[in-house]
Amino acid sequence: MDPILVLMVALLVVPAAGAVLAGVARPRAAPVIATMASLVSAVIGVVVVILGYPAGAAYRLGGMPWLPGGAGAGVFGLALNPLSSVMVLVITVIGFLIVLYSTEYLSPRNAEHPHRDGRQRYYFWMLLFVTSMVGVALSPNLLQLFIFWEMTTLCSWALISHTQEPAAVRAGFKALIMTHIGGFGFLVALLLLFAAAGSFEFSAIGELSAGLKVSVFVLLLVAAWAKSAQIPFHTWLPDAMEAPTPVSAYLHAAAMVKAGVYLVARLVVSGWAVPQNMGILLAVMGLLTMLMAVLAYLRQDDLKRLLAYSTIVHLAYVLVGISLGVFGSKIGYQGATLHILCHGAAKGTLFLCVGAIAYGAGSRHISQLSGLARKMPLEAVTFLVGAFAVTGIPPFSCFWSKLFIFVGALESPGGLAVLILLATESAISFGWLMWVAQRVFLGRPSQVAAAAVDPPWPMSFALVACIILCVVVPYVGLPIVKLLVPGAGF
Amino acid sequence: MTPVQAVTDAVAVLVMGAAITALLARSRRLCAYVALIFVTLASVLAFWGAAARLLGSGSGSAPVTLAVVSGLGASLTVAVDRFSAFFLLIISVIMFLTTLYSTAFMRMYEREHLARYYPILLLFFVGVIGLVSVRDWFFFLVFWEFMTICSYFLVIFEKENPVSLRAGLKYVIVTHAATIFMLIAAIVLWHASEPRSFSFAASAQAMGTLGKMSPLILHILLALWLVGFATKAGILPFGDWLPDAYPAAPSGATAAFAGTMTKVGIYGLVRVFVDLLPVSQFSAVWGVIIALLGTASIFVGTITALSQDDTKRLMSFHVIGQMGYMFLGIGMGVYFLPSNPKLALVGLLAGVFHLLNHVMYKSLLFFTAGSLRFRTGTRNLNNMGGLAKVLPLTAIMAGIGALSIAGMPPFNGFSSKWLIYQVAVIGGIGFPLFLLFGVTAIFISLVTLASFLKYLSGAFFGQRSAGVAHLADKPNDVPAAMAAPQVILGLGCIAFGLFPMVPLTAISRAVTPLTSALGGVGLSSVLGTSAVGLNFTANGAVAGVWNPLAATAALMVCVVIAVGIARLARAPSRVVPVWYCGVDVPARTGRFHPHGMYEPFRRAFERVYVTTGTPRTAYPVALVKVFDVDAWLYGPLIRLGGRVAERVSRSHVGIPQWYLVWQVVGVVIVLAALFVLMR
Repeated sequence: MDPILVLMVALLVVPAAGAVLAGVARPRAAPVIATMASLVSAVIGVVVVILGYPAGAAYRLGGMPWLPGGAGAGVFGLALNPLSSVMVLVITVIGFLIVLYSTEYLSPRNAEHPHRDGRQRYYFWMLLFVTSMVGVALSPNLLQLFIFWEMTTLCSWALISHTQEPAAVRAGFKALIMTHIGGFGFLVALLLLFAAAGSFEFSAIGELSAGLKVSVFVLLLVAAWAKSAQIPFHTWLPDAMEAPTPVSAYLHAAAMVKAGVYLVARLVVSGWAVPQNMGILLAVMGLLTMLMAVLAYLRQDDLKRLLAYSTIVHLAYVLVGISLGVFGSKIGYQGATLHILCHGAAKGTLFLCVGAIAYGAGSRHISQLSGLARKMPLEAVTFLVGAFAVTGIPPFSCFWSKLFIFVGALESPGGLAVLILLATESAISFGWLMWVAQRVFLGRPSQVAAAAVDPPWPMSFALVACIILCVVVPYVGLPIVKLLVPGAGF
Repeated sequence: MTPVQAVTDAVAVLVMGAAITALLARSRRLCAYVALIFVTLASVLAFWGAAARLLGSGSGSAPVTLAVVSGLGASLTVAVDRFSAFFLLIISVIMFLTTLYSTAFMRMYEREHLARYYPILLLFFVGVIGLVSVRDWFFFLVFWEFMTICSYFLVIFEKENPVSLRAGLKYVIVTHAATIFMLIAAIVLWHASEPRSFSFAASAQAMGTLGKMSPLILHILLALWLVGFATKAGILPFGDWLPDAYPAAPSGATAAFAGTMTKVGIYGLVRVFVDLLPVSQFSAVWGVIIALLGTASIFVGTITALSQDDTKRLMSFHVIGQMGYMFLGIGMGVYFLPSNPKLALVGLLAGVFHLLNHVMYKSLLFFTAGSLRFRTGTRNLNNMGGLAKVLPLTAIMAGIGALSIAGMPPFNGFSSKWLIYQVAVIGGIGFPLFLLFGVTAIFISLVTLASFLKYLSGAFFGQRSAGVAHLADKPNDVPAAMAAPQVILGLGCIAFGLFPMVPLTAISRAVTPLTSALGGVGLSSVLGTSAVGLNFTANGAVAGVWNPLAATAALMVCVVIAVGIARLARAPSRVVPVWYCGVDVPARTGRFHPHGMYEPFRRAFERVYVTTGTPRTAYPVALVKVFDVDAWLYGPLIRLGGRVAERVSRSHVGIPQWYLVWQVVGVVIVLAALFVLMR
């Protein structure tokens, strides 16, 4: 067996095994097991991406011989292409940092919400989340992707409701229902595809008749919109902020919501046969979502909800970038893919920072926090780096991806309008995040801020690592996304 | 070592210095000295490289490409042409002086951590040096934004002072928006170039193409660039952030901003409108617009400065006014590029010379304001007075700076303003609007003098106010590290005033190669060959002569005569308390406050300066309601589902008889259906 195949299998098995072990271990042992498992999977993830560069890999391992049609021999398997490489990096590396961070966050010392029990449960779902996201990224076809897709829904439901408080349970249920309704669209699309083309392959969509192609694509888009919290399914994500902050960080930076945009990116890159009017639909909905979410920024008092709306904006960015790819802009599409990575680093940074603030100061309300930089200098730096990274200040991460999308916009019809809208969003969110940063970290310390304590090393380590990621990821991502060009179907 | 190597080495030294000062920031003295050592080294490198390029002959070293963003057509190409070299000279000198000044000045801030000053100041210089040395819009904007962010952190250095925070936020948001404007312009140019590239050369070619194919787009692009540069340069109405942000930063940093950051706005302006934009009717149109913006800033900025009581805020409004002079000179220069290259050259020379002079006297003035703060702890002129006895050297230097900025002969400000007036007058013959601009500029020069008399008399002369009464009545000037930069700049102001041809020769070497339109025009053909004076030649005849040495000698003679008459006449002078018509008024109330000066002006021009404040718009509640899908779609749907389920569940009554009835009814219906179907 090829080493890369072994490693890809290990990438699925290690977190899954870690999940089971952490689930049955004693409460003290669970964080250690989970950290080790996620560290190992992060290392494997990086190695897999390096081994898979630039050729990629595709293996078919087993099938459903009893199925009629041509889907017999090799339905299930593992495939690595530039797009999944990007996803694997985000999922495993940020996953490790978040698990490490959780070991301290989920403790009785947490000032905002002391966590006393349920650790095994937490790490079980967290690692299973990693497994299912890796599964989404490495799936060679729509059927396997769907299976892992629904697993991520399940994991996010369990994790959002982790504290089991009424609001959290409600939010988890809402997320489950809304994304599952989207998943229903996915299922119908799968059945339509199989009935018409006899295959679950991404490329099979290209063989459908024009009308059917549009229906399948729209159904899949609905699934992706629900998953990525786009209009009209955007309401579950801000409510999901009831989750423990590391969960939110993972949900936003690497998992769950990224699955949706990944699906769309994957559909476009497989044969580049998506109809142009679908591109228009994608772009219009993306821009609409962006407008809505930017408006919502100004009303948020809870730092996490603010970041949730920011995530919605940036997923819309990715979708708009992908739509540019539909119109034939290579750079726009590459920018969208790069944005998955860059936004992952930036948003992970911001969420972990907000978590550290909540941990140390006991509040995440902008109105209660002021002058926090005195007691939490590292968090101040982290937040600023995160804010710069997410709004696209050079040399931090999203600057590069946004620039690619900006540049790509001009290559498409109506590009100047898109460019101006994107730039407006960029300016507004920069202004708002700077306002928030000043409000929270500078000025005279408020009562809450004066009592704050700096969090312990696992959290600080994760924050520093995130700062480094914010600088480094574009340079890692650029060579990978370079491989994504029209004509190269995966 | 080529100039390019010198510049890259200087940047490397600064980056290293930033890292080391960040590590050493806990030890306050060491951190300051280490920063000074690194800046000195970088400054020597940059100065040497730039001077070699500006004064040397030949075309200089080839551009060096350090990095490429493939697939995007962006490359980090470093090249030092003479125009860049001119700015590098200014930057290297100002960078050394401001850091030297800061080593002493920053002792004021005992509670603030120096890791938020020196490393950021050094990185700020990296940004400034970088952006004048690259040949690619992409990296130009990267360095530009880098500079902006660094300067933002310097503005909010007093991080618990709400005024600083407000100023910083306004600054960073406004300038970021301006950067986005320029980014859009750069991307549109990238799209128009063939092959697609961000390089200056490609954008010059793209501008040429756009000028022919779609003039409207080119006009929009030029407007975007102009807004971007004018915002940074503090030109009204875009520079409204400046009077808030400049005073907020520590004085060393403010002097660095005044000496470098506002000036790169001019760098970009000249780059786009003289170097890259092909000489055409676009030059004429935009030249007028630039000159108009400049004149508006001259008028509004300086008039507003009259009514300021805060030393640094007063000077900040003068930054706006003085940048206006540069815009006026350069705007006229750009206007005349297609029609009258000689006049164009003089206009550009005047604008850029004024820039050089402004760097010197405005940095000097900010230094003196910092020195006043250092000794008195205040920037409010009303709380000063009579400080010439305490800070004699600073007082003299402030006097030199004030006379220079006001354009008093023989100081340097006069030479450049004189050139601007000349171009306005001669140019006004063909285009009368320039005559109006020139008259405004001359009038405002007087206003400048008036407002600096307020500064001098408020701070250094007259009676002490209560705020500074505690200071001993003997000379206690600032430390040498703060005094030296003031003296150097002060002497520079006098030297460039007396020998304007020296800097003008260097400037003409920097400006002339920018565009082929100036190719055949030599400095001697417009300003004569005299080493000491300026002989302004227009339309083949000498239109104006300025001989600073002769004028100074005449002034000196006048001074000697005046002093002699005073001595001979033995006019008695006696020091008596102020007479308040017999009423017993305590000295504090009786004192004439600087606040009261120019009261009529304040009332007459109250409306001239309109501060934008925080824009407020009604929050689009309706739109939010539309987007709140939970409220109008999902919520009602779920409630509807609940109601239906409740209706259905009512049938579940728990009484067996009823279930029996339903069974019977159900059987009847099934049978009926079967009957219908089988029939």
